[in-house]
Amino acid sequence: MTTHAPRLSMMTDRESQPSEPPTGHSLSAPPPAIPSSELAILVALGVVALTVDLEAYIDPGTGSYLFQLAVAGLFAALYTIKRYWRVIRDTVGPLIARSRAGRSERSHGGHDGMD
Amino acid sequence: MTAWTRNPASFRDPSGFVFTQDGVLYRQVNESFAPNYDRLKRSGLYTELTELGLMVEHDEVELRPDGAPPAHVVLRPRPVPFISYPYEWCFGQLKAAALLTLELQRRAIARGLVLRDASAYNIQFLDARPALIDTLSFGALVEGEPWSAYRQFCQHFVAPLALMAHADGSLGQLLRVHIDGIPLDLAASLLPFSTRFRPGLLTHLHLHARSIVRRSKLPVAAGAETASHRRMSRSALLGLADSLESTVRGLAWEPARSVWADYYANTNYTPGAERNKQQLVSRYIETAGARGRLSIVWDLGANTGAYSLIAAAAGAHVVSLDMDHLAVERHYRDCVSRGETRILPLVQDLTNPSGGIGWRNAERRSLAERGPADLALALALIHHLAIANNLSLDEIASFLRSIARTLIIEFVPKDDSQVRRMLAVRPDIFPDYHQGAFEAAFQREFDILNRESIGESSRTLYLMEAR
Repeated sequence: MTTHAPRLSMMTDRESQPSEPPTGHSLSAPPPAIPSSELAILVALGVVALTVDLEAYIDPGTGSYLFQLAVAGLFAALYTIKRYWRVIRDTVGPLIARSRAGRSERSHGGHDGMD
Repeated sequence: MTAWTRNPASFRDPSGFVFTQDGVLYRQVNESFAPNYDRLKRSGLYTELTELGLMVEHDEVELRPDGAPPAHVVLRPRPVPFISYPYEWCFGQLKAAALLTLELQRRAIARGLVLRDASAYNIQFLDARPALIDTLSFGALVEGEPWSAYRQFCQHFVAPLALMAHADGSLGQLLRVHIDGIPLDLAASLLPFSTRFRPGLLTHLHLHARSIVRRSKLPVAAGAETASHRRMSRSALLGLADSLESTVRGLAWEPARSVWADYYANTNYTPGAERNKQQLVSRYIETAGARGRLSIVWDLGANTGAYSLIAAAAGAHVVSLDMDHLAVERHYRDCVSRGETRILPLVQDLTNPSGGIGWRNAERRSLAERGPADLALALALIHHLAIANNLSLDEIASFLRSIARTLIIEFVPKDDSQVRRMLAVRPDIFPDYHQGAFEAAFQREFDILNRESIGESSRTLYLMEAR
């Protein structure tokens, strides 16, 4: 797999392997067969590239693209925790503050003037 | 049909382009981008962002540029008084632009859209606040897709901000050399080791850089399985923006003292002389305003902007230029805290002003190409150009003529204590630096309208108009 990794671009392939022996295929000859597993990866990459091309015009960079996918779960988890924490803080916080205020009001026997 | 000119910076995005016709700036949205543009309007995002002042508003016009690709719509955006570039911003300005970009991304995701790019050049300062100028920056959110502009955001914002905060405040200047942002591996190598202990910088800069470098050395197909099996959920996209925001907010620059920022404190002006100078400048600005419209004023060597305020009070948009990023940072913070909307402080070394850079040296314009200003203030500047930088008075006059229609300039004679200090440790090779030669040189380029001594000082203030 690693020794015969398919390239997305034939130009890249030719440029990067100039010392490859000629295959002897003429223009009319059928193209060399690609193993089905490699074909699947090519299709998968093609789908990824296609969906990106529809919206993005800048090069996201392969390393950057895969890095995001690698840490996506972490970002999602942290974000979810943070969101729930905010909900808890916003719900429970005022309740605690209110109960404290109530206690201090009772102990001072005062009135805050709010109706 | 009137001729139109395509903006030389508008070539990357096939969704549309910017052009000028009869001096007015327009943006065409190509037919191919119609679904995304309509989504921006229909989703309510455009209204939300423009009402909040986060994006420049536009009018849709009937005009169609002759011979251009089929247009879906042509927009006339609200004009930006002065286009500035990230390498001219101080730390605070770049940070504000970064936070705006992340806010745009968050608000876009909430409405089913996403930022297609995160270029710092898409942000401009309008009324002293950053705003997005590129209407075509939004596309449909494709569920499962990573953020295509993540690397660009890190290169344009995270890397320069981290370098300024943790290495040296002047390193934002690297953006001049690297037009698409500072490469992350370069930033990682310049940052101190301690930045690896900051989770945000570790993730978005150090590990991100390593991933980019490592992948570039692997065959293209490597990682294909990761790409095909993993997805970036909406929560992950929001989490990424949230994490970037925490990282950017955590970057702070508390500048040490600089020579220039203390300039006003150590000046040889008596309070009386300073008051006299302010009154004279104010009167000259009034005279200049009566002779012609003062829409844009450039304050050259503005320091922390004491005189920019006078021009702003007269109703002009003031671009305050200074070579010292610390003085610019102080000036910017001061403008923000006072809610000053007419002043734009920028880092600019007049002895090496911003040149045209990018493709054909035309993508980002030089300082001179963004002029001329209606009025330039050159206060306490001439001795720095003539004596510290060995420029002839003819050369200075010619330069100032090229960037301004009207000029308020202060002549600082050799017996002034600042000049004496400059000449204290070097031979005086400036026999032509005197008031007579100054007037002769400037009269070749300008008409002198007013000339008055600044009371309680040996300096003279001039009001001049281009010949």
